[in-house]
Amino acid sequence: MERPEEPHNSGPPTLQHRNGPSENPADPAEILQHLPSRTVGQRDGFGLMDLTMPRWRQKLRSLRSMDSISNEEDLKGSNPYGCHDLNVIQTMFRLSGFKRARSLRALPVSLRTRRWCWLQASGGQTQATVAPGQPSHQTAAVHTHHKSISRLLELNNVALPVIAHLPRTRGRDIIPLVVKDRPSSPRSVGDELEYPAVTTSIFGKVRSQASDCLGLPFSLSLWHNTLKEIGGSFGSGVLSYFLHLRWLLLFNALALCLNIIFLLIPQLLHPPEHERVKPFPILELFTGTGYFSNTPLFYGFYTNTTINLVLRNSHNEFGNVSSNDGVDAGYSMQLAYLFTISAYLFISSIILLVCMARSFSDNYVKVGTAGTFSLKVFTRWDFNLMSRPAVLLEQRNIATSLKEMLSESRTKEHSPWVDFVNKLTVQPAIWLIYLGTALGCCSAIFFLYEKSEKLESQDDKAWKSEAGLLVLPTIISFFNMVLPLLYSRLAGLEGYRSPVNRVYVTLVRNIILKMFIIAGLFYHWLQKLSVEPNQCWETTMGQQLYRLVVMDFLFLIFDTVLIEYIFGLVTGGCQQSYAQRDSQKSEFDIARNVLDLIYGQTLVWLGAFFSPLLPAVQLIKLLLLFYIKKESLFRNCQQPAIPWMARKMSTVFVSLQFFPAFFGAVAVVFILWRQQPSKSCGPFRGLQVPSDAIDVWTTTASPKFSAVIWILNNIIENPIFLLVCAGLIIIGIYANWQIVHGYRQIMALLQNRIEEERMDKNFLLERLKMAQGTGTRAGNQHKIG
Amino acid sequence: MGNKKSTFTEEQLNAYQDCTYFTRKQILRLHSRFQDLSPVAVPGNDSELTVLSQVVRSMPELKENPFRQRIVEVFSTDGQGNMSFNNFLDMFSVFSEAAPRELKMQYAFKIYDFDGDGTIGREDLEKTLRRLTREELTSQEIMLVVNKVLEEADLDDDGKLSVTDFEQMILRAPDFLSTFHIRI
Repeated sequence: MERPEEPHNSGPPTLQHRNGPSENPADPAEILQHLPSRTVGQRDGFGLMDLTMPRWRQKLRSLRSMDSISNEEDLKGSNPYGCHDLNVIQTMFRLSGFKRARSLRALPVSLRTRRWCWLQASGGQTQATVAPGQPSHQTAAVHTHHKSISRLLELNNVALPVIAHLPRTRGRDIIPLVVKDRPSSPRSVGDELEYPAVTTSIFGKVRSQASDCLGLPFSLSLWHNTLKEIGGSFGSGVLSYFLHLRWLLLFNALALCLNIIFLLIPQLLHPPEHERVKPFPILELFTGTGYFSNTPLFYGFYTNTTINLVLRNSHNEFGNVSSNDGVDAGYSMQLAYLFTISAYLFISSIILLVCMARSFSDNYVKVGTAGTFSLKVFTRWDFNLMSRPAVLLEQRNIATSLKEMLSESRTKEHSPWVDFVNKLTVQPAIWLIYLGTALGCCSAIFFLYEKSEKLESQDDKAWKSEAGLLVLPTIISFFNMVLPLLYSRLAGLEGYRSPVNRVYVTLVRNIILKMFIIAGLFYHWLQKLSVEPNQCWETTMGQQLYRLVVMDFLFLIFDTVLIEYIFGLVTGGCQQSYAQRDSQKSEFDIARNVLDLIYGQTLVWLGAFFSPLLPAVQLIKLLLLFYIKKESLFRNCQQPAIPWMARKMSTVFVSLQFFPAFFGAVAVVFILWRQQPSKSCGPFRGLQVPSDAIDVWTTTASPKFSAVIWILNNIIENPIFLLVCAGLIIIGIYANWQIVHGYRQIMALLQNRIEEERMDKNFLLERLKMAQGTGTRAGNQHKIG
Repeated sequence: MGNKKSTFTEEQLNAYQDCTYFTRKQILRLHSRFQDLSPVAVPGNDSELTVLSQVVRSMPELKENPFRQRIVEVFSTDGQGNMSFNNFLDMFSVFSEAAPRELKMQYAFKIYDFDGDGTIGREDLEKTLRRLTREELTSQEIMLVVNKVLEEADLDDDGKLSVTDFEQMILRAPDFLSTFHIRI
């Protein structure tokens, strides 16, 4: 039996009661319409998502659907859905400015409607105080507005579960007035500070103001057009690498700003004396020794003096004068250094943590398992693509993968036996190989390092010994270039089901390897160098890290150029099964490139303490890298074959960025608290541990700061405070975890209920058909008989 | 009508800012993009300047999109694709990065619903597939895929996808937010 067109989901149940069953009361389709599962859901206006919605939004939705029930009497005619939006607007009145804006933006109606609602809700400064009129008058105007509402609804595709339309007449009155009324002297757009302080809250305004002027446009509009081109030609996956690069730029810019303002400028005003070294050969640009040792680039430049900033006689004279005449503004370099570095690391960790948490919750918590075909059809198409070849290629990719999926679903895929054997033998074997190569690589590095140090001490020629300093970074960078290739090949052998799993495993392995190498080296240096007397070990460490960063950059360039000259070099997880792919072109290996970014940034975080201007080096490196990679991309690469789940991968990238950063911060904190600084250089000379600077300050500070000192001594240094903080954080984490767990359970339960409803419905239909069949037969018999 | 909106009042900018996911600068930039498309006054459309459908569809962001016709139809008030500035702004606001999943999902549903009947039926699915794959799949394969999709996503077994079904499916797609995005 042909089911008639069902009224839309949000059709109010009372309407159906009013209309009554029009034809045969036992018509199964009619009964279907009256099924409680159809109507109860819509009466509440809820779907599964509402449980995760904040309460104010749930209220809004329920109000909207209640509108549709209560206001039908006003609207006769073909339109069964019409409602007033007065209730919606009243609800919006009750919300605060920022929430109101948020609820307004999320209404799936036209912008015009939203602007009208905004005017109403804000109490409208200018013309919106037009009297609302008599909405329930059945005038000609209202008739036309009914027609236009229903037309609007048709055009807006009656699939809307939420209806908040405005009576079109009102819109007609108001919007043109707003549009036409321009002040005689139009204010220039530059007057951004004068807001009619009515509608949006201060917070919302500050946010948008900030995003217009400050940090965010720097991140959002830098390279905007280039990124658009890249996304248009290569898709969101490749774009995510460049976005990650741009995001890292922010960190380095922040570090640089802090360091320049708080460390460099004060120190430059009172530079330490040191002998001018030899002139500056090019090699020292790479090794960072010699000329650079006594520049602000490294730790050794900074002194432990207290710079007195005293203004005298309208000149800016900075001298070590005691403050007999009033203002004693001493700027202690020790404290400045300590706090700047700690603040920078702390802020970075917090930012990373917040970004990680947010993207994790977006992409992992709220999603479940996938239905592959439907997802491929509806979510695979990347709307970012702009260039014709990219679009054609993507269409071909989708077609091919759909064909593969169809053929897979027809035949049995990997038999469980093969999987089992795989898990038992091949995968452990590959892990063993991986561990073997990792250990071999580490030991090779240490061995060569020892050897190069011996050579270094034996060599007389200065430039040779300096060049010898470069051996270690070269080896490390070489391994960093080669081993990931090896690992991706190995992962290909393992027979993972989905290519994305393979990419994850390879990423994790590479990260572990690199972290081992860095951690090992760091520990080794710390042990070895810090016990040598008379040497500025922090500067030496800074130089080592500087060399690593520079070498890393050189190898990245080398690697990119290598791709340019070797055609057909297939890297990463590319499947060759797609015909007509350009075999001359390789794919842009996103995982490997992001790994390089993460590694480089970890080095910078580790080195921030030893070399305050290292972020500047990293900044220059990232800027150059962007352009180099972009050129290489456009010349050599084509779109990746596998659907690269950009959002999920960006979560993975941020998390992978977080953990090395966290450990780097822990390492630096350890140094600050436990390691004895060198006696001859740096801002912490003469102290047992750098954190003693705080104690020194507390004992010698003027009584103005007694409150601060008291807080420091009794609260912050009190272990109970730390315990309480840690306890609160743990409680917060546990509570959130439980909430998420609860939501997941509820979602599973509701899914089950949907399934059961479907089965119930089918069962009822069958029964009804049977009942109807017997009924008509009985009726026929009655007629005949 | 010859007056081009070269500036906005404070109130209008505030309204736009509160009603879309754009900041002031972006709104003004979009306005200049809109002006570049040389909008004309179409009679009977509340004297708003509109851009004709084919002009919008020839924008570089939309030119190669297989769904461009549907996109402009969904966001225009007349349903033919002729867009006023409100429609234009609305469209890019929904496609912007800040728009939430629910809003994007609503509009994605409208876009994929070719016949505008409120559900995505077999014909809609077929049309979607054809645009996605551009004659690479045979009709039989398209039939099979359509069946598979309905099997997976149609929760109430009526042979069509309603908004709720679509919503359920999109919830499980972490990538939807990044693919349903146009950078402007």
